[in-house]
Amino acid sequence: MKTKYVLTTILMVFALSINLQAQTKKDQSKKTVMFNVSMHCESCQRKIEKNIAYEKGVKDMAVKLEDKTVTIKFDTLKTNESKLIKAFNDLGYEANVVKTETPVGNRK
Amino acid sequence: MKKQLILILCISITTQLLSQVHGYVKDKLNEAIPGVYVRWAGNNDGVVTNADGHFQLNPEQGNNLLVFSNVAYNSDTVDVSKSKQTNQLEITLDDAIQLKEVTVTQQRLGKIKSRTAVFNVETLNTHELRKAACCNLSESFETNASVDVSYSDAATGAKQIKLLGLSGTYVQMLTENIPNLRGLSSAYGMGYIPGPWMESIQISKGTASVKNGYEAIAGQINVEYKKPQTSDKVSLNLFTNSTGRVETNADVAVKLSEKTATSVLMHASDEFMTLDDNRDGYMDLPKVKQYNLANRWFYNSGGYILQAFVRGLSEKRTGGRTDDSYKIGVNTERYEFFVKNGFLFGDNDQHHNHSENEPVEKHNQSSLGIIFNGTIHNQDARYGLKQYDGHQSNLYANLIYDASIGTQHKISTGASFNMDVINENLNLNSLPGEFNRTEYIPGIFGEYTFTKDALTAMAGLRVDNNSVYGTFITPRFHVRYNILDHVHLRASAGKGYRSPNVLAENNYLLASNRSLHIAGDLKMENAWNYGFTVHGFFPLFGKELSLMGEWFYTDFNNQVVADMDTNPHAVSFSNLRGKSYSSSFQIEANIEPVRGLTATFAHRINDVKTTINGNLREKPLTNRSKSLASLSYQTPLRKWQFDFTTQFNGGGRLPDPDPAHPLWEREFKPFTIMNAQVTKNFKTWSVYGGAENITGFVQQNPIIDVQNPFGTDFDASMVWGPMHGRTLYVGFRWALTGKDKL
Repeated sequence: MKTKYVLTTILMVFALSINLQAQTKKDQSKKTVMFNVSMHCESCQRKIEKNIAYEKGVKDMAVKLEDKTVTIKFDTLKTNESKLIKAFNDLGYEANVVKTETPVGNRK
Repeated sequence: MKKQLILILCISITTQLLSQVHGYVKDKLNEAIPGVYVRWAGNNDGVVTNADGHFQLNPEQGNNLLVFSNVAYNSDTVDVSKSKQTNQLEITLDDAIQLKEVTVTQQRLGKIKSRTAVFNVETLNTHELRKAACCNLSESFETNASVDVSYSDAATGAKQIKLLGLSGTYVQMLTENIPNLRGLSSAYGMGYIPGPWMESIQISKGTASVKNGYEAIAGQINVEYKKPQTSDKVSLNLFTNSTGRVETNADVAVKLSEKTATSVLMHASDEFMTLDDNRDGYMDLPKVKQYNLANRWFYNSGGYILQAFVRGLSEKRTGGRTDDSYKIGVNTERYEFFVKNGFLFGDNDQHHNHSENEPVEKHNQSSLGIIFNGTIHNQDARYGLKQYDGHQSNLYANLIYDASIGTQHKISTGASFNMDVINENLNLNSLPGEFNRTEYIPGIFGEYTFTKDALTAMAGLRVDNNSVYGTFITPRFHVRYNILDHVHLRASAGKGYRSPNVLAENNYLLASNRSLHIAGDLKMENAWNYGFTVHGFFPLFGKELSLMGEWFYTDFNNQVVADMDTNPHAVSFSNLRGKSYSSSFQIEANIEPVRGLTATFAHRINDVKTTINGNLREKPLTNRSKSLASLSYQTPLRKWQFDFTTQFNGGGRLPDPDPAHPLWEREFKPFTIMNAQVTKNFKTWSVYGGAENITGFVQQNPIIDVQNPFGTDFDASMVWGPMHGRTLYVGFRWALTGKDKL
């Protein structure tokens, strides 16, 4: 019984953390931008993931090594495209904006 | 997905920017490889890849052959003439020390096709190792379905592993691909390798390559330490838990020049609390104090690569009754060194008759590895009134010559020499006091690998002459075949041998008052191991489901059988008379159902039987089955990580109790263990906290006749479950990564 209780609690924590993630999508000031970044290997990818994740305002990120793209969802109140490009430059990579998606909040 | 240390060279060559040739060198795990020497064939002036694996050099008129060399991997020659049109190339190589297959593939967008090794190998990398508290090697398998870890007794805190339901002594332990933790160190050796020192662990089931010797019977576990040329400049780990364990780990890596790097690894740990939660008067866990220091060097001049390692360890273990009326103490000092020399010979002849479809041509190449390893191990142990002292010196040399002929054939051949000097003293009335043994074992070996399309076949043979046990032959075969792109089959058959070290391997039995009887004519243990694996990758709701089924059968020709059944007050060791086998069947599923969430489910059934005193019986203290479920969730930016693992251990048999007045049950019941951990990552540091054995399940009354440690019934070796309940822990990691320009 005790075992089941613990198991259920843990599964709930997992479910909750995923759910929390989903909720942030409702925010209005979010914007998603795809950057073209001059990266070549997995260690560049890791370096970008590790560092850009801690840039102010960054909410989500998808790095595609094979396309050399980094898609970043960020809070427009806290950062903008040029600040992010600067962050890439500081890491030693060239970056430019490929496309901008309409803010997620306006979609539904 | 089973990964292994296959090297992938990923070269991106562009004709822009002063038309320099540049690119990146990576291994199979997509890790950049710094320190790879890159030069044009026939020209000795080259460049060395930087921390990102990047290189850049001026083109040479009329020369299209680039040579890549590094000690840990075989050198390779790549024709770049065709690749000037394409942007990205990928070359898969084998590493120089461990035999792997060789493949040449071209990278297509979005799909990197890599082939897996001929062995059934599983790699636990840093990411996996950080999913659990992981203080040392023995605790690194908590999230792994294949390896079982348990206490060997209720007093010393020694942990033993089991693979395929067979005791850890049948698993060949390697560090940096050199046999280690043999003989005297087999009892406590799992605690000698601090978790933060480890870069990765490779678990290979069944008999492995003959290059590392004949001792793998159930399998092989290799530990790679952090390397000076690739690790963070400084890293620090602090850990403490509710059982009073405090641990500090620190390492520093310094790059002295483009070719030379060194690092220092440090570990200190102490347990300062006396724990007796079950109030039986005995410490639940012994207090262990350990100091561990290592220094390693790396030098790469392109054609020659040197790796050197030296370490010293001191450990003090105190257990027994909390009032000190029965004490257990084990003091250990251990010193190790190794030197690895790698010589690379590129084939610079210009026969590049590559086909149109294969823009990258691999040329004939070879390497020579010369390895020296030495160990001194001193151990003084007290178990109440019993005293057991041991000393072991070991010297080992191995010479390996690898040659690839085109892409299909590979030959490895070499010779090895091993010397073990073991002196043991035991003060027990029923036995003579001294056991001394010296073994000299010269050996030669050869191995041939054939690779074509979906097939890899490997045959190896070695002949060794043991000065005590005579000459013996070790044949081993491995085949891998991809019946479909997404379904891989592996089969293996091979023999393994080992010299028994009865006292060292069973010294935890001294924590019981069973009388010891050791037959005088013990022979080498030897067994055939057969394995069959099916591994499939299937699309499921847009995700990939990995499914694996495997069956391993180990058939002993000779085994040293421990009979604890015939007499509940004695244990006797003798040669196997009759049948002894282990049959282990395991299924495992891996999937990522939601972004960031990975799940592993596994189930294993063990059938392990040995002829004990004329009857074929289930091996005592062995789980009949094990199930594991492991969930891991990372938030999208990897700032948080949640890990949860639960293991269900099936019951098993206990050694026969005294029929007249039984003091313990005939069987032990199934039980469940749960562990959970939360990690919060910051840019340069992270904190983690968790709980082991969440439900607090413990084996009740683990010590038989606990009130009379000097009586005949006293026995602390009847251990099948956890000794201590829920343990909470918290830790901190910090790293100064040299690569960050911030």
